[in-house]
Amino acid sequence: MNWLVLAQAAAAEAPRMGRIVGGWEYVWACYILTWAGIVLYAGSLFLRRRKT
Amino acid sequence: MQLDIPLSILLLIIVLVGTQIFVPSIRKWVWPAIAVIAVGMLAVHPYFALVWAPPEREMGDVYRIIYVHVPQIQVALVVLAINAGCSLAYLMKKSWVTDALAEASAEVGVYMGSVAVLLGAIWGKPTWGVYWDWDPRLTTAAILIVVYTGYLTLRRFVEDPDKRATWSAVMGIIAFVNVPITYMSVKWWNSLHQKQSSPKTVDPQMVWVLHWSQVAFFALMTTFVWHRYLLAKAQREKEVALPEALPPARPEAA
Amino acid sequence: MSRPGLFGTLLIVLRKDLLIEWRTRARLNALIFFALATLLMFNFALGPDTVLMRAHAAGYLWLSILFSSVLSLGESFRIEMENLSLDGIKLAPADARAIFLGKALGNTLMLLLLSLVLLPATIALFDVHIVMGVPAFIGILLIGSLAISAPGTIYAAIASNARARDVLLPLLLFPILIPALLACVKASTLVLQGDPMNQLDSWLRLLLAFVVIYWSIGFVLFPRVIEDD
Repeated sequence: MNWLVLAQAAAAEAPRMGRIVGGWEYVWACYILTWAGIVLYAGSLFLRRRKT
Repeated sequence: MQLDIPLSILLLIIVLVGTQIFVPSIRKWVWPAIAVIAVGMLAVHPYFALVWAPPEREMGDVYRIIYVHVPQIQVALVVLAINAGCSLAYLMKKSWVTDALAEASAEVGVYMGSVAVLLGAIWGKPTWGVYWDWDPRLTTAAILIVVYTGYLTLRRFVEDPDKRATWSAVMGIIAFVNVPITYMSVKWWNSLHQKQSSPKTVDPQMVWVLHWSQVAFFALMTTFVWHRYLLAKAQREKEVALPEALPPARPEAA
Repeated sequence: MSRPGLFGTLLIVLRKDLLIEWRTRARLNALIFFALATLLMFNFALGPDTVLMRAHAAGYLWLSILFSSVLSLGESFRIEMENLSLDGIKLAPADARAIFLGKALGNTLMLLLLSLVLLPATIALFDVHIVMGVPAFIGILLIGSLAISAPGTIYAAIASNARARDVLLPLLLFPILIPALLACVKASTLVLQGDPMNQLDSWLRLLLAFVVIYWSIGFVLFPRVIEDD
């Protein structure tokens, strides 16, 4: 979790760049969705594994 | 967005194919190795993408979505191309290997492609102002996901393994041929509307993180496809082997 | 008895299908009424704004044709399924590729007929007049029917043998038809409203490419779809 805090801190310290400021909620939404997808698909593979 | 294939992915492919063909003794270690690579690279990926990479000139921090959106859509297209190749191969020479690989690649392609399109829509809100502005690439990708969902549905609704393999192969080819046509048509249809905004990634740090992301997701896809392929192959063997599963007739039965 | 050859088989299959459709006219009439009812529904849902109606008339016309096509395409293979006549055709010395051409052409003619019935209804309901003339519009209807029939025939053949065939056919067909739908609607709109910027050409070329590609694919792959081994 630490690096999420780091990310915000880094962004706050960096010179104010970009016409779009902030928007971290969208970034987090995307990364959480990505990881959820990975976990869910891997889980589905695990649950369907052939019982040899 | 240029089609930027990092050297490392090509290297990975060469190692993969090379060991399968030339070095049988370490064949079975390739897959766990790739899985380890995938997990390892993905574990540090958020740090690189969210902290280490600098903010972008026009998009600030929102551009960081690129590190999960672009690799997944690129990998999805690659894996669906694998499906097209398997479909063609199956029609030329029937084999449960190509059929199982086609099934695996379609499923991974639909999963990763759906996530990618969803991320693209989420990215659209802060950049375009709307979740969807009919961007030709994203729209074509969305249509592609629907097409391959139909492919998976077809596979589910046909019980005979032979027919299922043949018909999905036919459909796989039609689906892939449809991609350039759809792209052209949406691009022309859309040409009256606004231009899409992509971040101008010239910063070498950004390019590096993008490459890292591409390799990581490529390794993840390979792992997923491999395991899904094993599943499909096992299921095919179960479906097809039934007559042989019966015990041989006993000679003394009079 | 000598084999009829590609063209001969095509004509035999086409004639058989058209004859069956003519002899069971009640179903054909029902199909036409379904198409008209769909168009009417769109018109009602759109409301009385005449400007909007004129602008979007082509879209609703093609959507009505598309929805009706699912019924007519499904029907063309249901007949075969019910009577196992497809097996009969396969046993006869007939080239499967000619069967595809015959069936796809039959479907094209059906769709053209439906769209020709819908044309006056569209003009009346949506208050449009055809700037480029009726023959041009009928040309678009013809190319559009050709475009829908090729993948439609392939998928109808596949779906007719699978479970949930009524849902499967539109699910498989519609996403594939999106480029053709876009092109048909755009081309039709230009024919209706005039084409000051000469865009009709590109849309027609897209449609033509679609037709050529899918008829070729159907020609090559259809035998694999109905093979039996």
